[in-house]
Amino acid sequence: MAADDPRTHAGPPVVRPDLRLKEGEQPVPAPRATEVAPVVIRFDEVSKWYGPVIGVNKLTLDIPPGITGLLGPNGAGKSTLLQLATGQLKPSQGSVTVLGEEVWGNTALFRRVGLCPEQDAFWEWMTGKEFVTTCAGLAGLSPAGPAVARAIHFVGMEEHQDRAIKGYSKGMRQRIKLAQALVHDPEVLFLDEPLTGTDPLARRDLMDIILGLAADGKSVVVSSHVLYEVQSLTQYIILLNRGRLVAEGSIRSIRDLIDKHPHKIVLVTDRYRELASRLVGWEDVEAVQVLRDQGGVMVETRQPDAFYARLPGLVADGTPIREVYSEDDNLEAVFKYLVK
Amino acid sequence: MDFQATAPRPSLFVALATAFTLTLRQLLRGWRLIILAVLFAIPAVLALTARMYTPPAPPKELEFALLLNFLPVALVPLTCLLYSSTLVQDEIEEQTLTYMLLRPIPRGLLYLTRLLATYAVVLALTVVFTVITTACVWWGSDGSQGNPVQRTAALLPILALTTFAYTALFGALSLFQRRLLLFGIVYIVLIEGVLGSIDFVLRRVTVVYYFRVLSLNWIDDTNQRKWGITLTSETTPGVVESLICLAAIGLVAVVLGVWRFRSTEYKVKTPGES
Repeated sequence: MAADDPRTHAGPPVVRPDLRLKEGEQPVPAPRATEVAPVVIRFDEVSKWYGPVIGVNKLTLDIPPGITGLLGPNGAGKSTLLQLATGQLKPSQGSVTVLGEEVWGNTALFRRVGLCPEQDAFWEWMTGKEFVTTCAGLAGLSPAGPAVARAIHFVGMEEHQDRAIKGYSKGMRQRIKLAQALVHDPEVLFLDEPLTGTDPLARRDLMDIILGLAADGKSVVVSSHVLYEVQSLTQYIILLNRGRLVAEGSIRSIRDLIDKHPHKIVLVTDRYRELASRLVGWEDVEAVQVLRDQGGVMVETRQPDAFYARLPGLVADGTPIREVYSEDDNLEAVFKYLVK
Repeated sequence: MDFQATAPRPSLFVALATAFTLTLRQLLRGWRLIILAVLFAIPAVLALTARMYTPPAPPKELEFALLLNFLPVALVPLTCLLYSSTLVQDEIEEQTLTYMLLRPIPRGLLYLTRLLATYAVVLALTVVFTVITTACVWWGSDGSQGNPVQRTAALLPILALTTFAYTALFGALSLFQRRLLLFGIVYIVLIEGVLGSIDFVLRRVTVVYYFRVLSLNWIDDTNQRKWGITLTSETTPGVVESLICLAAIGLVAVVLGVWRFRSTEYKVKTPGES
């Protein structure tokens, strides 16, 4: 699935408690279902405790096919969620199913599931090829040669496959880790922070690889705390914070959620004083701040669409606006709104 | 990318064989093997030195000290301890267990396979160095004190069973006790070393007790007084009972280890966690 494909979702609408609507307001579901998509991974009222510490808390979630971005700051519960989905952890409560099967204790399911773990851990003394071959063997593949060659080719590591892993760069290590995850041709791939620590070039390559996997029909769950990375991979995201589901759905749907909060829009112009005085009178503008350093004004509005619609008229009236941008246009801003 | 075209039908046997080979490769590299080989060479060097003195030390006394005591009470359990501690704990510490657990191998079978590989390495070390030490003990002997070949042939199966019991025992303990090395050394000294040598009913829970009973029956019954074991006593187990007890200790430990490994969650710490 291409990164700009709109995703559909059949799960329940999710609204963060502090985004709950006031009396009289209409609910704005985060993921608006336009058609029913099959569910690849299902969390049903799942909680996981580590003694008194909560890993995830009453998580109910359906993940459809394609690429899904799993977002949240460190400690949000992303890795716990992935470890639950890959049967490394047993839910304290509730059930986790992948491809319709219970995960915990279901070793047969691992023929259909692959994991690229977050930890930078290998049998360092092996070469890249030996490592992938060993993982193919552990998956029961024999002869493993063709599958290993394909996996290594797919991640672009043919040139370095005969070198010891301990000499690999971070990007190479991530690639070879990805190769072991897909050598047995899984239907579902879990990638835990696959881009962490990589340089921009390796990052771009890995993103292309992940997009290629989805194009091959695999379902991929990618966790990250770097939002723009996920934004480049998929429009469908799950936001976690402190073990709770904050929001899920398309980025656009989640943006709808935060429309209940003021949007910040910056208008760059040399005549910022004049512009500010005009904007103060607009009914859909809540606040105006002059940005002397930048040469512009920042507007706060709860009706961004209406505000944007009025901008051409402003320019037509002779106000020379050089640039318009919103501080809310990237996922980082969405995330800040939702989790803070 | 068409993986389907290249992916053969998965085989559990291949998966287990890979796990076995991987475990062997892990055990046969690094400092452990070198240290243990040096330790195992100590009895042979001591025996050779003692035999070179004038007059040379009697082979039976050397055999008793080195092959029937030092080996089963110190070297074999220490080797089993060092290798069994790598079964799962090393993979957890190095965070590579994930690569094994996320495969279509039932966890119990994975544990058994790694245990089997560990047993194979420990047994190989034990057999090779027992033969070398025996050769040194009996070097230059006229054979009047016994036939070294026959005695070694009797000793090796007892050592094999003893090694199995120790490997399984420490393998299971490694799943319960994180500080296995410290715990294991205390166990070897207090339980097998001290408790196993006191003429009291509790020594029947030690591995070394059954080793001694079997070696008295199969190798040399003149050591009864040295170990405080009377073969004719009603309380002393017979050969069959000793074999069963030794095997049972190992099997119970294996079952316990399988159960523990199957039911344990192995949470992987993430870099974000302290």
